[in-house]
Amino acid sequence: MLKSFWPRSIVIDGKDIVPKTKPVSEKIVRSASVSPVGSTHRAASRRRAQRSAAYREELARIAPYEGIARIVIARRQALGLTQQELAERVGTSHSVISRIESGQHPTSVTTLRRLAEAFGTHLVVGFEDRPENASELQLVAVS
Amino acid sequence: MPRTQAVYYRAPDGSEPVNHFVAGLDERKQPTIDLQIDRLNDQLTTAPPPPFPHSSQVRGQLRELRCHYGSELYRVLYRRSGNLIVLLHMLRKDTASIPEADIAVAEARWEDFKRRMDAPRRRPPRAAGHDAP
Repeated sequence: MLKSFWPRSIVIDGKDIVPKTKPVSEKIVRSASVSPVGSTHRAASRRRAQRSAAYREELARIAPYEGIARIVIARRQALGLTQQELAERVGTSHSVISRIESGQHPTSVTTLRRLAEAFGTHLVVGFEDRPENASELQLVAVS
Repeated sequence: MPRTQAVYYRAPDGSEPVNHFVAGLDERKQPTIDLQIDRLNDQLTTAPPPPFPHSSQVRGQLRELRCHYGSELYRVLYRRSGNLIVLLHMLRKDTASIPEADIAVAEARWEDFKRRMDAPRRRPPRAAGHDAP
């Protein structure tokens, strides 16, 4: 019975040669239907986190800085300010704003207070219980 | 309102170059870079792109996300397609401006992306046999 028309190997000069060609290149057939839209970045990030403890540890360390970076960027963008202009309003240097917006460094409460002032808002710091034993929310307006 | 979603461009061979680039970085650098790319997610499609210096225009509608880990600079070249932010190419930046060759790579991938998106969907072969119409 013939399962394949192609031999598994051919013996030439006593050497077993495995043919490199296949009857139908599966790869080419499949590639015609590969979507150009790949994985979402979010799903890929989750997979990286699942695979590596070092990744998870670093992520937990920088996540709060990233959160602060994003609200600062959003406020600055809403006001249409450059980093330099915001720095001048806050009374600090461009590099301070740049470091906050990088999401890789801690920011002092003093700096956050001055940012709030520059944004025409006030800073709120709070302690929140986990949902399962949430009884009260303690917020303090810092400025 | 639709929100943006960052996705990797996938080549005809199934590879995802930007995903591959990030995965090739040191594990301790990956979360920082991932979070910066994640800033492109969940934005209203009518909202402006991230302000300078976080993103800027490269050429036409091709944009760059300017990421960094400490003093190491990285660039992700991307384009928006509806609510999709298509991540086309990523590079470590060590020259003043993005090399023309890298811009060309991103543009070629975008052209390929568009062509394959516009291509008619493959249909399964119709039924054949005694009851075929």
